[in-house]
Amino acid sequence: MEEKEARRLVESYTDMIMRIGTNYLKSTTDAEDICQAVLVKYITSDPQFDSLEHEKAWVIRTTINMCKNELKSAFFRKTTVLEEADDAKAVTPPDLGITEEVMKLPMNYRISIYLFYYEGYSAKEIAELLGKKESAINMYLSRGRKKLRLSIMNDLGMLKRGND
Amino acid sequence: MSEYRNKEYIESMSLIKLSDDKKEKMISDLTKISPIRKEGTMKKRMGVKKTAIIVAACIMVFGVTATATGIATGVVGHNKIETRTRNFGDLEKLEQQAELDITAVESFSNGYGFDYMEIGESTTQDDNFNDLLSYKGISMNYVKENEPYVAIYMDPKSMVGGDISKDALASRKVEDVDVYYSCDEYLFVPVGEVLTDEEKERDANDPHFFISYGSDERETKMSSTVNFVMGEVDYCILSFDTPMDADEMMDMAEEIINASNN
Repeated sequence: MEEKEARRLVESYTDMIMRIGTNYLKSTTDAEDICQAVLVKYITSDPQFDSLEHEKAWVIRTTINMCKNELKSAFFRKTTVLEEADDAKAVTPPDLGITEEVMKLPMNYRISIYLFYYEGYSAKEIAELLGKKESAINMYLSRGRKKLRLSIMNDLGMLKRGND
Repeated sequence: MSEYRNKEYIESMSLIKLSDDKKEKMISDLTKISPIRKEGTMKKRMGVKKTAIIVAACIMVFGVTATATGIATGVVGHNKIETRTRNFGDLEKLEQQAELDITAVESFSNGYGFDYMEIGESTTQDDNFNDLLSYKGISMNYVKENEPYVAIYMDPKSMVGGDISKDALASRKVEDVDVYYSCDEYLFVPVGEVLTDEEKERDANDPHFFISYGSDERETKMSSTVNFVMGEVDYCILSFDTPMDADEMMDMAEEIINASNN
């Protein structure tokens, strides 16, 4: 692959893949591996796209599916090295504020929130990317927002306790 | 989310990114990889059977499935280790779990003996890694002192599909069952590995040569397989770097087929 095209791919997509990977795997180390795997897959399978938006959607879908496979295969991996086990616990960078709260949400909620608020996709577009119904995405977004609100209010001591 | 929280979320998410050094390293690695050519290649679509063998190869060599390497994109599989048993008498139980009716022998006349068996779960995927269908199979391991082990994979014929005679190097008919032998070379390389011109040419045109990216070191494995279909089950006898030739491996298939008549 020519350097110009490799640079375009890396600069266009690696940060997005890192964020999606971290949302799924809760590990920036694992997200880096996914980054490399997605771009290798792009080159070796040589997919054809009608537009840059089409290309971006392919990258997002492939990243999500690879993250899901990583979660499945990690459970059944035959050999585990102690150093790798420690590495797998690598967490997102500190001082991420609300992102740390988002990371506590269930996976479908946090990936929907990321694609909606950060990447700017509509609920309908997110449904197509994730292979789910639009109603499910709307539910993830509304419940995710509610859980975030409660979590933030709890952290700020704004929630009434039973004995107060 | 409120506008304030939204802005805060976007700002904090933006902190998650690949460092500039790692981006440059990735660009350098990617420039060393050649795309698979679409035109004029016999190997563009390997089919579920071949990719299943590569997945098995990667599991044996690396202990993980090869989906992240860019080659095994047709099948994702893993063995359910919790189902593993070294008791040959548990076969009926595994058959019930996998909903398969198979034939198996406890030992072969060439000295290979049963070691263990387990359920394997596989999921077929399209080119975008979307899951299509899942199915269960049974895998059995046989051992012989000082020899590479032999694995036998049994899967539903309807799920594996493909033409098992394609690219076969030898064949034999046992009763009314066609048995096919093949021998393939798998080259496992790290991402960014520079291939030789010969390797690129073979990758494009040789149906018995496969390259898989993602290993820690460059490694070559010779895979010998014997495939046959009996009833509703697809059988694959697989061994890596084995000294057994086509006839010896097909003899093992013949023993299984003959056992089905007993």
